[in-house]
Amino acid sequence: MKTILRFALSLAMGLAATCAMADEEPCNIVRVASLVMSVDESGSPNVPMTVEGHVLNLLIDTGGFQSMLSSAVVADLRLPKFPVIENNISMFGGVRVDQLTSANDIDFGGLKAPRMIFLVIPAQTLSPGVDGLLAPDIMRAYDVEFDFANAKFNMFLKDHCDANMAYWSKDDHAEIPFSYDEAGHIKFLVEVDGKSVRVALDTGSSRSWMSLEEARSLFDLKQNDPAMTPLEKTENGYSYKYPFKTMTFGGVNVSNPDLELISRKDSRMPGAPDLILGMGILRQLHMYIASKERKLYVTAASAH
Amino acid sequence: MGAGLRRLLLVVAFLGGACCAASAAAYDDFARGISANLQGDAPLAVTSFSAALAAGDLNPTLIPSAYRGRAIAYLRQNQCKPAIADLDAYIRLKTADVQALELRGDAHACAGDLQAADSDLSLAIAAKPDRAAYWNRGRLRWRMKKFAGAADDFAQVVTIEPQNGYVVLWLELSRARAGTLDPKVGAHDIDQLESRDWPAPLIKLFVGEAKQEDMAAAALRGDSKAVPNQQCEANFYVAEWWLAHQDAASAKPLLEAAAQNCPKNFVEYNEARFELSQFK
Repeated sequence: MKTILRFALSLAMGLAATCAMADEEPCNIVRVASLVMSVDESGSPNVPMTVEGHVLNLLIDTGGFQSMLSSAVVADLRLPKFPVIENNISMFGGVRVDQLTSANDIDFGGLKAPRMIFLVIPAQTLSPGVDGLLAPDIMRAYDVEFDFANAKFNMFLKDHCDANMAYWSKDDHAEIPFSYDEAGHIKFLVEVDGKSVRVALDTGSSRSWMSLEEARSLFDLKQNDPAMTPLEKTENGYSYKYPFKTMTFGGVNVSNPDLELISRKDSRMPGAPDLILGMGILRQLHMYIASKERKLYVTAASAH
Repeated sequence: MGAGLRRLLLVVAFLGGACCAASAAAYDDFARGISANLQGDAPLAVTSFSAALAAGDLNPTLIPSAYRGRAIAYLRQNQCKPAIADLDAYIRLKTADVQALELRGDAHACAGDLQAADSDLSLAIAAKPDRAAYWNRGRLRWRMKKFAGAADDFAQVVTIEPQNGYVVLWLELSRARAGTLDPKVGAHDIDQLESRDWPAPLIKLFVGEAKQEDMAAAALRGDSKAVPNQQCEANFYVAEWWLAHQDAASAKPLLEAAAQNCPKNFVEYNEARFELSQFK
């Protein structure tokens, strides 16, 4: 490395890398933030964000829409609340999100912003100890890396040449092309027991689930299929378990994938994807999301 | 590509420092423990978290979560004392986690040490007063027969959720058992409710606006799917009304019915069983 440059970048979504170090050579990747990633009660990844001098714990939610703060935090910090003008935002279980807030002095692993807008999520919908959600509105401005085994969430500048971004491993890795939907969700195709299904990658979902309607259609499951066992009834209705044998995507092979079947009616998300790839499967992986190339680099979580 | 990869490795190491390599076995066991808890397999969760902790090289950030996860799995198996030990370890590592105090309060209650549970919940409330902590301590104090203290806690919850009929119900029944029920105050609480449907008839019973003999009929009203649950609840709360009127003989068969017929995940199922244990 011949020269080290210091520079500051102003990024479209408002967070600025106040001091990042880069190399002149074109294929280098520049890490702008590295955050300790803890695990909340539901097994989901959390990272700290400082808002107006208070350290908050945000759930990393690739299945989210816009970053959110809980109503309890908004009350505690006495942040202003405004109505969402076009109110058509609903979450799993039909929870409506109809307010937003503005907060000052944001520090996210050294990335700073003077002011940011968050949606306000009802506090009771979050796990204990979780203060809000980090959503694709922030993550899409960077490449992001989930290193679950080392408890690190890393963010990189997304301008780099097309290289192998699974830099942490000398072993084989998978490269999975994906697309973004309108909400910024990462979508790609997987095969479940030989049938192609479109999935959304969702670190905010503690488990993976498939729509019951899609499962019935793809696998010709009958109403009383003996292999389909009901799980405990929740406030979102019944969910079912089915003994799927394999899920494969881009060279990743998951045996006996833990997939819950939930009807779209019970999830109260009629536009939900056919399959949500949640933390039950994702925590076994080490992932790098190259947002510009729209490619996911994956190894086993403990590969190095 | 090979040279490119080496450059990438070099740059990342320079910017962030060499990253500690995770133990494959320790992390895999940890991940298995998390998944087992989510799938309700408490024995596998205990085994997995124990292996992750014993490996000695689980990432330090994940160690508290392993203790908490194993404590939750122990609690689900009613193994109260190991759950307390794990929560002690967790709280030593995560001193600012107020929810862990509430969880350890549950573990102390599980072990039968209601005073220790009260202490933990009081610490949690002192650090961060919230609805869940007041609700849990109110229920705990009701079990300890500290009915005035329970009523104070439920009153706090009612200020947050004045429209929630079940919270108001626990407030009035605690006041009734403490001998501090004021019908005018109770009537005002009823006015704040979102609905006059179930469980409002039970609240009216406690504040003197309805008669106990009308509760069986009231439980039959509404959505037919809800009727069995309403009947279960009527059995428990009418029994509480009898206990507030010092008539244990009338309360006991209703508590037995609640313990037999209420869904096991209902508050009324657990509390009916607790009340019956007090008769022995």
